[in-house]
Amino acid sequence: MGDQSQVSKHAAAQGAVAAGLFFVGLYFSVIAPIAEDYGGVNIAFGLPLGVRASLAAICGVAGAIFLLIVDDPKSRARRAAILVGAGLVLLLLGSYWGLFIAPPETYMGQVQRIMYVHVPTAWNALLAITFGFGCAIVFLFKGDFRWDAYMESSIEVGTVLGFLLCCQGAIWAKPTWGVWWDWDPRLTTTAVLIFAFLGILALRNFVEDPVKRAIWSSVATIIAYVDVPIVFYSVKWWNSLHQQQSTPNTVSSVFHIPLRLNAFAVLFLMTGFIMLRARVAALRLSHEIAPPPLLSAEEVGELA
Amino acid sequence: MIAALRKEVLLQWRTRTQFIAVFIFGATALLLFSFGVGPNSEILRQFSAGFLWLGLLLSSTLTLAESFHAEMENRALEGLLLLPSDPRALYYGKAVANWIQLSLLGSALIPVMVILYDAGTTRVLSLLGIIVLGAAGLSAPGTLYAAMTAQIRGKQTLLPLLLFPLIVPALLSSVKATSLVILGDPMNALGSWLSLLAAFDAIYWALCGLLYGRVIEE
Amino acid sequence: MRGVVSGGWAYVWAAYTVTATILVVYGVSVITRLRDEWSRQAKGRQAQ
Repeated sequence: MGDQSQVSKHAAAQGAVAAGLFFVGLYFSVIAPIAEDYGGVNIAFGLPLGVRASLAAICGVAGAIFLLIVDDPKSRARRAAILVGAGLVLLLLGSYWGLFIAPPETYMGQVQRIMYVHVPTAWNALLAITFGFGCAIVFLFKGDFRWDAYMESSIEVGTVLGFLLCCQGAIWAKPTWGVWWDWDPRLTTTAVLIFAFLGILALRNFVEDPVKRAIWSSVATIIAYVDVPIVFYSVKWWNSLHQQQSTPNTVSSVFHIPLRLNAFAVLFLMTGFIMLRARVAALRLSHEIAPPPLLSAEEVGELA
Repeated sequence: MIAALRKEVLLQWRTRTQFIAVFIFGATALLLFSFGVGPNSEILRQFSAGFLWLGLLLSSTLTLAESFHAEMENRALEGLLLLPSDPRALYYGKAVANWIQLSLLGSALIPVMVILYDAGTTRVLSLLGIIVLGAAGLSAPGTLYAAMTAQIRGKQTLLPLLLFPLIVPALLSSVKATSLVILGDPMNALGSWLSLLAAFDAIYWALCGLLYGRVIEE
Repeated sequence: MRGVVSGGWAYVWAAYTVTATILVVYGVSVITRLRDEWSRQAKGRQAQ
């Protein structure tokens, strides 16, 4: 019994650490700007804007990665359910803000509102793929199948987010540049990335031996991840030779709140999805390794 | 490593009919690409570099998949692993052999391109240099992925599925460099594309050699 | 400077709809797969 309470105390402490990190992140990126814009009070302890933004980003990412690292794919899915729920609430809130409260941008007009979902998707897709790359390296050194489950799930979630990113990017490109697809380096790199990781997911489906599957897909993940910056710079170079494309990079402060709300929303959803998907992977693996179940009496009768 | 390379080259020499078949496949691909464009010699000339590299890329999957055929028969790879040799030596032997074969294949496809697309150039040496560099970019990850996919069912689909997205930068810079050689280089950009290609080669020759040991271990 | 993009609400709605659809479909698929695995595991335990 003592063990049990020790474990639950441990879990509570972990949950508190993650919740604390997320709170600090949301505090500096969302709560403090709202208090300043609408209440006129400065509750950000006099920190400069750049420091607040980086602090919020670091805390959000650290909280998500901490939760994924301490998560046990064999445990129940309560934390993942909480994360998905919180993500959905924040996404509704952020999207409402982005669609109805935020003013239209000076040059981009209403189309700017696409950025409130597009940019968070991009950040989190990159984060998911990077986490998968980290899992691949840790797996190759440690050989623990927990990391294999997390690699598979974060690659899958990253690929889904990447696909979503391409769809949003195409919808944004049409009114802005007049074409659906503009061979913009970021968009093109995402497309290449999706195909590279789809190939790895297909490889996983084809290999029956769990050990080989895990090692090979880790190797392939490392190789594909290293390719990302090379693809990006080569496409950038390739495209810049015949046309220059400008993208509004600066997003002024009125537009920050919906963007950051959605960034945390997609972060929570991504983390929750990876945790849930890792449970699927872990269960499948234990099913594969386990001996086949004994035949029941009726089945024996059918065979005879 | 030299011994591993000797073994590979000898094996390839013995199966030279296979090389000829792959060459004919590549030449057929080049012929078919022109039907995709139509009999417009100006456009064909402009696209000739791209077609050459796509033809070489398609043929390379045949060469690479074939390069592990002998090991898979009679489970010879396991026998090689029992030898007191470094798996890295096995990898570099195989990869260099594939590199040589792909370079030869690419060089053999150049005359086909010149005739079909009217894409002649006097800078034959730089063209050959680009072929050699580009073939290095194809063979380094290609050999590693072929080692994986040779061992499983569905290898014909999986090798291109894994390889094609990966070598986008190598393909891009090879095509660009080749077409700069054929069509002229007003902006003097050839050097930068070649250094991109060389950087890709260096990264993947190092990385794949490092990881190969994990792929073939039992 | 390029001209101001006017209108475009249709694109905005399209982007938000695509986002919601893909996230919901993927979420539902993950949860369905997890429930399948859970029930399979429960069945395996019963058989033992």
